[in-house]
Amino acid sequence: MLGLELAGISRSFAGTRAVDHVDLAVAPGEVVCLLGPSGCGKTTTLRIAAGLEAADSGQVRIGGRVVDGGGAFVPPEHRRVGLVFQDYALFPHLTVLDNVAFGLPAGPDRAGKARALLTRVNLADRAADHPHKLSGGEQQRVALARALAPAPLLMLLDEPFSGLNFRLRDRIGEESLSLLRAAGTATLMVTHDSDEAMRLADRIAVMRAGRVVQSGRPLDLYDRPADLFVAEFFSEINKIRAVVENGVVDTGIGLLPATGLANGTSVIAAVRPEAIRPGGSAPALATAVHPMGAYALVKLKHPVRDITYLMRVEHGATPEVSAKVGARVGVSLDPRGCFVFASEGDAPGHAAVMGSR
Amino acid sequence: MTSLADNGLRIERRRARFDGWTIAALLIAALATLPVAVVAASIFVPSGDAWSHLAATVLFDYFANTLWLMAGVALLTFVIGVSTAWLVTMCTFPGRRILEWALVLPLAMPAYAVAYTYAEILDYAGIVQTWLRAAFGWSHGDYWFPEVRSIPGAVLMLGLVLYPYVYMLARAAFLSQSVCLLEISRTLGSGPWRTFLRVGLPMARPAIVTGIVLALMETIGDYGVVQHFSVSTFSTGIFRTWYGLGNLTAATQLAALLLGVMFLLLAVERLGRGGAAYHHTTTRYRPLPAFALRGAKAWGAIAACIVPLLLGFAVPAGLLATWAVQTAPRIVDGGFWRASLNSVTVAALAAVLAVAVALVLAFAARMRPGATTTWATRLATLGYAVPGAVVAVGVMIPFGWFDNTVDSWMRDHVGVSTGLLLSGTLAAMLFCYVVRFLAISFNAVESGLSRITPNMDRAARSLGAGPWAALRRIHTPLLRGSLLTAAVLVFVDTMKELPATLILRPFNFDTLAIRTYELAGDERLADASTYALSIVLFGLLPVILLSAAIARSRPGHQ
Repeated sequence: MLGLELAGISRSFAGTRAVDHVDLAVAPGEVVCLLGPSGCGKTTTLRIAAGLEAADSGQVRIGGRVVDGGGAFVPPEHRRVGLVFQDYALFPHLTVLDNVAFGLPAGPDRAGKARALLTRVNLADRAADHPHKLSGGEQQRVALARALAPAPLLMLLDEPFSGLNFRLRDRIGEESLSLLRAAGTATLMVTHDSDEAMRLADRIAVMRAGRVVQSGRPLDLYDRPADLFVAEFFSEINKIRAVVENGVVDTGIGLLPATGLANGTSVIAAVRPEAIRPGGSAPALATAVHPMGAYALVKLKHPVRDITYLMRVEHGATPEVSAKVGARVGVSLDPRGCFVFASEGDAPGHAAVMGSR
Repeated sequence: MTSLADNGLRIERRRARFDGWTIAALLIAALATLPVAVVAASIFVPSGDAWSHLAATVLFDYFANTLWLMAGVALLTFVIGVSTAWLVTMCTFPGRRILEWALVLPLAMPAYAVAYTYAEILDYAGIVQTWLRAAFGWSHGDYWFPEVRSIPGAVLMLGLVLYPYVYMLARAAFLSQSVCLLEISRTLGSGPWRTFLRVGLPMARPAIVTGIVLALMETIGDYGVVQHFSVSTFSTGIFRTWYGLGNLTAATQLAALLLGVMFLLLAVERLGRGGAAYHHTTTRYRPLPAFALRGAKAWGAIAACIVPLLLGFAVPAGLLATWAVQTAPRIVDGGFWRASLNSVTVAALAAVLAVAVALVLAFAARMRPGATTTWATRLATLGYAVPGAVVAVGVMIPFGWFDNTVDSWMRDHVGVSTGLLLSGTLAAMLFCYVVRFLAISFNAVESGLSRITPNMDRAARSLGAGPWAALRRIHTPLLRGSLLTAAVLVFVDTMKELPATLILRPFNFDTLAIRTYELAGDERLADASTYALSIVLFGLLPVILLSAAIARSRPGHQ
């Protein structure tokens, strides 16, 4: 496979492993998101791919060529990578056109090529302006056109859309990535925004403490998270501590199968808010209702035990629930949004009964 | 806000347009502009034959020599300042940490002291040529040796002590550049060297231009170096026309031409900044990409940084110290202590005055923001660009006129001659120094004041502190450092100042700078060394302050 291949990449800073044996591949025309909280090593991974950092061990291949590893190190200017930063990093002393033309070799059609790229991002009319005159969205498009100009084999995007306001973010994100897919460029994008990754990526690699915890197609990660960390990265989640009895886990509002876990194991049952469905036999008390527009979040309390739950109800689905605080409601569990993980080490953050981010 | 005002706090009280603060700012601006205005106006005064004589004989030389000096100093300060700044900010090599601050040291050397030292050792009778003759058995005429008392010699002297202006500003500019921009350039196919030329250097251009313009302002204002090297420039021309030909009007008109050159420089600086907006398009910081230099490259970098440091500071300071050790027992007498006391007194008074005036100006600009105070501060701080000799001439003329007018009026009406009230007094000197150095103190005070947001005032006052309590408990502690910095900078510049002091000093009033100049002029350099070294030691104070400031200037930079 061409595009980008990272094989067993590690990198330490002052004794701390920032990147720990990361394996990752991006095919041409594919968009892979590196997703994780700040400090998880995703940006360092990106910088190693770009050649802005060298890996301590492991191998980086771009377009089939080894660019880092085994004694070889190709500097960034010879790797054929494009790079877009969160703040776009346009050269303030150059016009928009000169920014785009920066990476093109000198020649008679240099300006023509730059102009053609500006046309592709619908900014041909701003060619003579300096970057500070452009809006955030326009700057982002210039940065993308500039990175695309030398026809890179690999495009690296470092939180490229988080500087934009949220309405613009969706549109520009989709436009940018469709441009990259059409160009057949392998794209690695770093983000901490799970919604963005979910919406834009062909595949997602979730990172934590320097390691790739899980990678796969977005919905696979959502529906089959490898651990609690991945599960709660994509949505708010109810965390209920319990012990496996007779092969099942009692969440207080329903039983979940504890596949592969021995009786007596301490576990955390992770239940997505939309997996709690109104209408069922398990009783609960509604303690608060937060209408969010398209849906409502309902806080529930177990009638006897000291457990609270967050339930997500689509707008208009069950008016009787969202209407009354203090009402007794019957609920049921949809097993597709429920996961059982052995509670390992009992990190303090996981001891909380209710997930909240 | 109304409710606060009703409670008696009255923070945002509206005032008349021309209140105390505005009037104070305008008054300061008027006084500070007076010398420049007088000099500029002199071009309308007929000066008789002297001017046509000047034009026919020396004026072309003054122009040509001044331009050559400027071109040479611009090139030399650019090359030294930018290359050393780039090396110490972007590369790692042994000794970088020390060189980073040591490169500012030549700023402590008065240019004339460096010139005296090199003239002494590079002359025909100096130790270098004497040694060459002895070592190779040459005698007079057998060999070629560059003449230090020449335009290139003057360029070298001025360049060696003035490059820190370019170094400091270029370094600050490189430090503030986002690494992201440099990294983007790398991924777009430019190697480290091309990245410097295409991104690092152009983005630092405004700062570099400003640094060169500052160096050039010192160059055109220099009197000590060019006088000692017999290079005729506008500065020496002003002195010669006045003291030699006794024609103050013609001297003033020369000063007006010099003023013209200075305004040209200011315009260049403005142009250098114009065009693209250089405020940074990105705010993210990372540790700078330290290109680790090893082997020959590291030695090359060390040499590139050490040579200007040696030539601009270590060699002249070392020689001065050597001579001072030999001659100090004879030189340090009543006259030396009197000159020291005079220097310290005048410099301290100038520092206090300049800081006080700057405080008033800065507060006026803060309390009454608007076009009036903006222009007032701009005019009031113009003096930094005006050569000392020009300000001195511009002070001399109105003060002399004032003295004569008062004197004749008193003789006519009271029958008493008042003589010289202002001319040739400390007052004239101090006035000149404050005009010249107000920009320095103002910038320091203003930057200190800008850290105190108006909301701090409001918070303090809402917590029950009255205006004076706010001044005492909030402003004073927060401003203390800036005020001290401002005072030290003015103090040292006053100590080093030569041409204006020569023109304006009271009769027989000696300072360290004056004695250095006089002794060096008598070819008694060994005797001058103790005086010169004293100035250098004082000059080290602000250099230490500056290095500490630039070391702190980048978040996360080590």
